[in-house]
Amino acid sequence: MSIWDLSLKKQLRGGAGQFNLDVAFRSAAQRLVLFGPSGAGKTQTLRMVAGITQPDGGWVRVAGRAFFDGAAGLNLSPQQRQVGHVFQDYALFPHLTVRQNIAFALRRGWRNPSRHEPAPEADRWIEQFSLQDVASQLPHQISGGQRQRTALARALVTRPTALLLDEPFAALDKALRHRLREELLELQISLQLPLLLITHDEEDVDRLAQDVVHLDGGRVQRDRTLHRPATEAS
Amino acid sequence: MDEAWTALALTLKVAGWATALNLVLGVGAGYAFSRWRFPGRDVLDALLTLPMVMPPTVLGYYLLVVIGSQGVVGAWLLQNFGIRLIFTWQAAVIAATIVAFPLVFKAARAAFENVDPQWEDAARTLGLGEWGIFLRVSLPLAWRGILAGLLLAFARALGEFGATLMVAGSIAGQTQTLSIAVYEAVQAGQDDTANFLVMVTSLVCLAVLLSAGRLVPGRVVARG
Repeated sequence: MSIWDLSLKKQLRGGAGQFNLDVAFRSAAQRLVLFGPSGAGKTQTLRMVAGITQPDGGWVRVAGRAFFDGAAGLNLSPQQRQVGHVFQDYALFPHLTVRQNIAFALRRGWRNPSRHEPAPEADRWIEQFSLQDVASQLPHQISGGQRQRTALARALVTRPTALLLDEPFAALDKALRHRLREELLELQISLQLPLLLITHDEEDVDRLAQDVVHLDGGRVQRDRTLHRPATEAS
Repeated sequence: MDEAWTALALTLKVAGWATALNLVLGVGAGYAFSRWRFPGRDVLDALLTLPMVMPPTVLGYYLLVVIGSQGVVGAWLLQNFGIRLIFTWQAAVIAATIVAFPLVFKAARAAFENVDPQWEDAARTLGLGEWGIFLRVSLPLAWRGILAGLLLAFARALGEFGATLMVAGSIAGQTQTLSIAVYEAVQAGQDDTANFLVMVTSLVCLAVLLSAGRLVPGRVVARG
């Protein structure tokens, strides 16, 4: 059974004129990497899986659940999809502390979690990611690696059914990138969570990918498979 | 001097209500304009900004046409509820609200445009509903800019003269605000009263502007 089953058509208008995205792939890999240069349409693809951008047509199925089906008129909201999303520059809420950011989704309603409100689920992730020392600091006061871990914890606290990561290591220096990559791999293996990661860094592909989809110019490049064949490997 | 204090209390009441109404109207309109494109947006934008550039007496005239006893809304209110809006302090609130509206609308719109939509997207993927996103993400991040706009609107409402005089008149103790009392005092040759009223008005306006000035710099929040 394939975990990722996507067919996306989208006409995008940007500063550089029109861009036609037409991406279709299927994969049974738990760790799938979307690889390609910037401007290939990777981020847009991820946004359509998350439900932030609506495709013009096609379908999105993840781990057996249909998120979007143009023909059937189905379009789940991002809230209904329950997919964790780690944004490229992490998009941490600048007015909330690290702990409040992580506890954000645990509290429903119209008020943000207060600084000292009990949130055992948030504290568990703070401990797991060694964020205890910076828990009461604001995002701009902490290091890049800590920000990345905070963004990851904030997404995982919702117990998502899949995790999407947009260039999660691009903002970090080489040594840190290496370490956090290993951490992510361990985490994925222990949680057994479907993971879709986009990158332009071949090392991410080498270390993390069970399957690779090569994207360029808004299309899947089937003849340009990298190091591993883009088949239904497990 | 008692009259001066009465006028000050009334002015603060009118300006306070006008600011509170604009907190809802101006922030709502500012948010809508910063997030959604819809047909007729430019025309509506111009219409909503009009009170900033039009002479207040012209606005007052329009208001008379609408809420006057013979006006569209005014006649309806009078017939069905026996409410006569004209020459009441509530009419002064309506005039001040409309005159000060663009200041909140513009400030709120600019403040919301500075909030990266990515934060709202992040909140969406975390399962939060649209009202929660507005109250927990957009509003706290735009708050300083909105507050500066609200203070300017409060100051503008304090000094409202033309439209207020036309719809609320100048009834001492009921609709006579500070700026109107100044005019009346000068007309009646009461220089002491005029001097006192002018001092009070200037001090209140200065205080409001100083607080607004403190809130504007450093509005942009560091990205995280």
